[in-house]
Amino acid sequence: MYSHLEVDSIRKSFGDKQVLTDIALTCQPGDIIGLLGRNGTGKSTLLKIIFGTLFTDYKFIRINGEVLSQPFKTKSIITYLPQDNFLPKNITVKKVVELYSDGLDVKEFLEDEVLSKVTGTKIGNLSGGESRYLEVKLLLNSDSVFVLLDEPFNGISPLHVELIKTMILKKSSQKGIILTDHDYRNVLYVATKFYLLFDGGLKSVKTKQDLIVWGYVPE
Amino acid sequence: MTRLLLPYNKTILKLNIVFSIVLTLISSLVFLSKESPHSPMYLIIAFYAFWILTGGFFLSAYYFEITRKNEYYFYYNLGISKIKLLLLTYSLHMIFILPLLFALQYV
Repeated sequence: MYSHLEVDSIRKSFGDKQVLTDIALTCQPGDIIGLLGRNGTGKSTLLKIIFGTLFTDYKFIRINGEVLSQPFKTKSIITYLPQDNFLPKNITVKKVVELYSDGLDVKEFLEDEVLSKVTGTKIGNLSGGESRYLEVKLLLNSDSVFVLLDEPFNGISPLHVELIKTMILKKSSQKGIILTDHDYRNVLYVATKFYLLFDGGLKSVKTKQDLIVWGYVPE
Repeated sequence: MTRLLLPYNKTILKLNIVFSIVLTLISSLVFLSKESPHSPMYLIIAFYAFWILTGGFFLSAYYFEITRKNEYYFYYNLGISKIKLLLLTYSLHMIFILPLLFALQYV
């Protein structure tokens, strides 16, 4: 059972621009870490490095004592929700769930107010909210211990935002979740710890006042 | 594992069939007029099998890379890297062309 994610010494630059400088954080089941930051501060870059799909010269990722260069290659450790939809567009919702569901009750999974209406619909024909909801639900119900969510609330209706927030809170006791989104109010609502990526570094945030001090939100 | 590869394999195979038909037509126009010990049908099948495993596959994978790159995360989340995905899909394509290679003996 993997239960402790440690990230340390992460550095990343694009050309001359140093985006991340010695980033360190830890996460374990029960944590919902909210990662905030302006556009281009490296939130997605950090998540991709932790997941293992973006190369960097400097990084240290240890999960339950084991150092891993590409954590995603080890089963049941970590999953990642990218900013854009990632499910194959040419297959149906039911088929995707069947492919993803390792030991999951497909019928039960599809029986909710959103998915029950679109079971036979192809992924490419879903609305943005339905698609995002399905993606988040698949990842939160997978057997991975850590889930990285990159902008789960972006561009979707308030109803879907509420459903996703409820789902994240419900699953957080079993999983360590790191999420980032520009909708900071929703991040502040669900997260248990907060960090702000600022000038390449990770600043711990305790209150909304800290976000004002760092210039992330207006006064 | 093969079950998980189906969406990618299906997409690449469809693209590959189209690209390989185009490449086979071009190859046929260039080479069929030249003297050969083999029949035209033999050469067409041989060209097609060749392109399925080379240029057609490469173009299909490249097309996927530039148009549907984000879908790789579907496989990453299942623990399948891009290289593993390509190698396994290529292996399935080799199985796909076996009947063509078998047919070559009879034309």
